[in-house]
Amino acid sequence: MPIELQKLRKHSIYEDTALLDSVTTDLDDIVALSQLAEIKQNKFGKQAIYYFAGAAIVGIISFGLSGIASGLLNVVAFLFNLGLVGLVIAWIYALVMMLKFRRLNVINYRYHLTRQLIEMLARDLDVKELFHLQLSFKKGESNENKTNTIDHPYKSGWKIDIYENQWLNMRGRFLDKTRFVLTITGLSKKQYGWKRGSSGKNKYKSKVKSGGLDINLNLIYPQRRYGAIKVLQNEVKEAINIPTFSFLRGLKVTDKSMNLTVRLDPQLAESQEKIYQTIVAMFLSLYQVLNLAKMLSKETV
Amino acid sequence: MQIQLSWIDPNTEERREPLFTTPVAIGRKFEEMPAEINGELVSRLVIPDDLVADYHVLITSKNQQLIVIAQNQNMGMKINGLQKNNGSLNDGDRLQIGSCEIVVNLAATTVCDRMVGFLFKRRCDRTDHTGCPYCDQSYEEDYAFYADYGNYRSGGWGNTYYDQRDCYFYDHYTGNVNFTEADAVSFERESDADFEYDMGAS
Ligand SMILES: [Zn+2]
Repeated sequence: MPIELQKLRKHSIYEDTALLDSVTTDLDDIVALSQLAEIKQNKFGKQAIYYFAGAAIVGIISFGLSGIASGLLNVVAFLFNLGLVGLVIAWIYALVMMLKFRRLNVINYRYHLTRQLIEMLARDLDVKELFHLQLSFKKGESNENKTNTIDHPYKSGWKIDIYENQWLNMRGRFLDKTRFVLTITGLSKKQYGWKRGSSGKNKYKSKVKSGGLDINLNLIYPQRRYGAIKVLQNEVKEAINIPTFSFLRGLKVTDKSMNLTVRLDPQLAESQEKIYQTIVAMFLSLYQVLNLAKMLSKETV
Repeated sequence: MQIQLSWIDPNTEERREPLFTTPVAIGRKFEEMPAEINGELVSRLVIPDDLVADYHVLITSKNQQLIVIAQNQNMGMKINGLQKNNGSLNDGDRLQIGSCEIVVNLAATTVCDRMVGFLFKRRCDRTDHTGCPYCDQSYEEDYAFYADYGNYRSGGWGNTYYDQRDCYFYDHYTGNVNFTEADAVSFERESDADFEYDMGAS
């Protein structure tokens, strides 16, 4: 299915459940589109500056002419005014176009990371199975991401909004019949309220603070193949080997599934490389357990 | 790709059935045929027959498909009795060049037994290795994020279970994991883990 540009432009979100091939093609389209948008945005941005400068110069000249207007100069002043109107229209057009393309110029690291992850996972994916991808290019602090509003602990009258922006959700099935769900959620807080300024006037202030990223990986595996995981259940935690810049937030193991959540610090929340490394380490950690569980899961005949 | 060509030599009336690796050039003069095409060595087959051109046809393989192209448009060839300048060949097809009829057979292909996969290892099992996107790939860089991935050796995680792995059995009716002491006694301790071997056994 070709990506719906209108939808991407309007909602800044890509979502599809399809064969892996089709999803990667779409992603490549988004990359190309975003790169094109970046070029166009710059082009129209420059044009807008030129038109604005041109309009300003013509405006000054025609203003000067209008002061000494008489006879033939009247006609010249009229032409200058006409030119001024034209330049202003061109300027507005360039501005509109620039803003339009800015919407399509989506956040680069998110699709690059997604592409990199798919490439890593594809080595073990069942290509005949449907692959689900939801990739959002939205910024975190929008109303639909708001999960809670609380009173500020010590600034009276102030409130804190809590945002959880799940910008990646990937689902698929590996060749060993294990299903995985991988999500990345950006966390942030916004505190806001009225503050009395030095001049005595009340000013509305707001401040956004990033809380980092939560990466969640859920594996649901066939019991027949990995049933012996129950023997290892209490020791799974020791097998988790994640980078030093991340830390373990949650781990839950049953004989059917494992759920692992890792937190990444705010300063790394937009680093493609660090997110990728963390996710690779998460997959390897859980499979270090599963691969051993498989050896212990030979069936009694 | 390996193919077997069988024909009756027009001079000696002898039956010939050699095995070739593609690309294969067929013609009357050895030196008129290319020794190499796109960096691949060409197997050259000489058929001493007046109706065969110096360099008559070329058989190549692309994506596991066998293709034959006449190099001398005037002389052409016949595939299963039909006059053609080029075409694809399937197992058992008859290719006629001059007065010589050659039967083309695809040689039994060997299956790749290399271990592929990133999270869990399995046999590649592909029949054609050229450009194999899986078995040619190295994952060293990504494995660097989990040092010792796939090893359960002494001192590492899961070592005691790994050493006694042959004693564990899973009963999928009851969902229980059983431990057999008798096997534990006879079990010979292995010093090092052969990761790929163990991962691949399914
Ligand atoms: Zn292979």
